[in-house]
Amino acid sequence: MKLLPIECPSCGRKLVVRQLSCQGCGTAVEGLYEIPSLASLSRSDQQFVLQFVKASGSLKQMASLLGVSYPTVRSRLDQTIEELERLETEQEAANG
Amino acid sequence: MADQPPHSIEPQRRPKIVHWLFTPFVYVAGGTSLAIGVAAILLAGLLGSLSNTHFDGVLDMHTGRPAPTRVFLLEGLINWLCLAVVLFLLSRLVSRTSFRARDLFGTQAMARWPTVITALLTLLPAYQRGTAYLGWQLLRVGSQVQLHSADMVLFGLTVMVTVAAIVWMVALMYQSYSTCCNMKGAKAIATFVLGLLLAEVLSKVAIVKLLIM
Repeated sequence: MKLLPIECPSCGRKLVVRQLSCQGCGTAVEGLYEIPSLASLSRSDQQFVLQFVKASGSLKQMASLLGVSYPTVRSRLDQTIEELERLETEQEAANG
Repeated sequence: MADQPPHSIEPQRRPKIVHWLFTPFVYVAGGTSLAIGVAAILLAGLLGSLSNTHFDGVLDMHTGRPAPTRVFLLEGLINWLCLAVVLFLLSRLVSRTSFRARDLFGTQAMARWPTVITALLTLLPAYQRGTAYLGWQLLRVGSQVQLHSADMVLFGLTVMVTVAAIVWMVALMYQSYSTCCNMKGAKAIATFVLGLLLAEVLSKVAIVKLLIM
């Protein structure tokens, strides 16, 4: 399956979901659905969050898994938190 | 950008030697860096005692004054602790994220490992003859020494490598601060320079008060 595009390739603005389809019966639901903040993160950030949750939120375990030091993982987590906060602020502003 | 430190979250391949030399704290911190760092500080002090080379300040290195071995060992530890404590306090004030003190103290100790190289260089006969020559010419200290052209070249090279090692050490100190306290940009550079200056003064005062007076 293709990766979910997050930004418009023409103007760079955030995309919204227009249609959702059932893979079983083919029913399609149309509307304007916002992409959740987590899904709006870059693929690398999403993988990081996924691995972090799987590691029970242990930075020490993440550091060992990735072969980097504890503060490097901590710094990576802080970057992801900042990015999530930025996305949430943008979404709040877009929703008025 | 193959030589850049990795930032992706994929498990890292074996770091290259250039990463270990210039961005070691991406890979090592905490207790490991503390053990390596303290060992390096003590080794540099021990080697320094063989050529009467003192690391008598966070960024200082002076050859000539004889002293008991413990003075050479303690100087390195004082330098490390002064900078680590000052940077710890500064980053507690300005950093927006939490961090572990042992990462900062450990990596700051390890950042001093280039002093082992400079201490080794001071054991070279050409360096010893060069400092003795300068001591006599400038301060009339010691005895008159004849300096050959080969000695001059080797002494010049040693001084250049020593300066490069100190610059490298400062770069590692900054990398330690930036990585462990998650500080970047102008704020990180400004607070690091301020911390370095404060720690330099503090270490000079501490060494004079505790070890010389």
